[in-house]
Amino acid sequence: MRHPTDEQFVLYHYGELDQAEGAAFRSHLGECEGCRERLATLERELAAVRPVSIPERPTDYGARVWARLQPRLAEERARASKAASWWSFGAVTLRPFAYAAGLAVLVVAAFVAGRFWAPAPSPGQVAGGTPVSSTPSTTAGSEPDLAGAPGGAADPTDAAMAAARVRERILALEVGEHLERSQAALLEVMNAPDEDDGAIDLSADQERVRELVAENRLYRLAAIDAGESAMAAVLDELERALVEIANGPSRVSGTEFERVRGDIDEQGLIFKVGILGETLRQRQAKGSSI
Amino acid sequence: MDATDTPDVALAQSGDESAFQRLVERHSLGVFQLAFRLTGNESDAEDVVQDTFLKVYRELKRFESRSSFKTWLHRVTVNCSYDLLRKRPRARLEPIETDGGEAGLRAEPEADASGQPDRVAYGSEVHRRIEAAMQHLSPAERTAFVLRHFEGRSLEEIGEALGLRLGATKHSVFRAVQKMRRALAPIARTAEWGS
Repeated sequence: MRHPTDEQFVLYHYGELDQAEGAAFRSHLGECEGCRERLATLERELAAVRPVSIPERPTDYGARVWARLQPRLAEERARASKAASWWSFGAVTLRPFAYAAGLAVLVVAAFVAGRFWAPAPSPGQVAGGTPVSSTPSTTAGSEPDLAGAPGGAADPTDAAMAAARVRERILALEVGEHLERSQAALLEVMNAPDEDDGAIDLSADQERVRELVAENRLYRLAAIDAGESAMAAVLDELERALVEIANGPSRVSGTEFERVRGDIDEQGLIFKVGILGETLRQRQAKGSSI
Repeated sequence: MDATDTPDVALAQSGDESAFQRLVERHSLGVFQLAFRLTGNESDAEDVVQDTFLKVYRELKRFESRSSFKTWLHRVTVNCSYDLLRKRPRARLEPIETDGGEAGLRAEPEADASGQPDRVAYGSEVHRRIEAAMQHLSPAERTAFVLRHFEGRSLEEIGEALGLRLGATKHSVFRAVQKMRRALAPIARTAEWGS
């Protein structure tokens, strides 16, 4: 066996080499004094890295945590109750969106189909601009069952408008969360620490960024389809930056990294993503008061 | 599932708030301790405690007891801490001094009358260097290192908690160890470790 790599030494120390690698490592140690010394040094150094002392908590800490938590739980219950009432309106019996990653895909698919984020319909129209009198949207699962609306005799136009607003809130939430995740990922990449040789290792960030690229593509197409050009433009810029990071080398030189960072800085991308996220939060907040 | 938690989890799932209160009071300290190790900051750890229990409250009905409540709570705490670390702005950090220069941390502990490095000063220097090195770790490196080195979690568990593949998890731990060793190298040459 050739001399083990530094990474193999670390993995051996933590017992994380697989059986065959571990056996080869031990066998090599038996015949290589230099590597035995390297291992001893590593073990001495890591033994010095002891846990920091944790600040003490009062004996009634659990009760204090509960006291602080209670108001937030009350808010949570109120929020959940309001959300439930939105869903029950028109007998839409979808499960709460917060639970369903799969639902996000359905929401986006419906959005792409031009059904979401339509401007508030004028009297005589339902969301998406389809006149009520001609071809009302009746796709199962995406339209409220008006017969089940509270009171049983709701105006179909009002019900359709309310349903459109509910959908808008859902999408605002989904895109808002996507933007928040993207902003966090970009910040992490922008602040990635450099190694000894000035290179930057982005491998850990790239996996997350690839997932964001796929999500972003769906939301961008949806925004285009819905005529949300400003949103689509920001998502387009975001996607290009994400793709560059996702498809780039996992280890880049300091110079190359500065170029990528400069591009992101120059476009003010993180700021734009933040502003768009805030706008969506405001839309959602307005919606929640309806 | 932990026998003590089982009835309270079932009751809390059916809406019994006092059962949820018992779970919170029973596990608050453990959640705080883990959150503090992961964030390295008392105020952040307190925020993580709140966020963790709020998330648990939201998701409790979906908890299916395939793992123990404590294991699940641990994972939620890691997630909340990791999220907080990612959102926390990271200031541009000064490089950790590694060559014995004058800036930053002292490279070698002072010697006492016998010519041996002063143990207290030395211990303090090691502690400062570890703290500084921890600040230089990315959120993924820091979380992976704390979970592996201090908490003894397997790489698989860590990868699952962070949403990383095994290779990326290994690399995060490795990079954290390298940074830690570089930070400690100057003083490692001057005295024996851990004795």
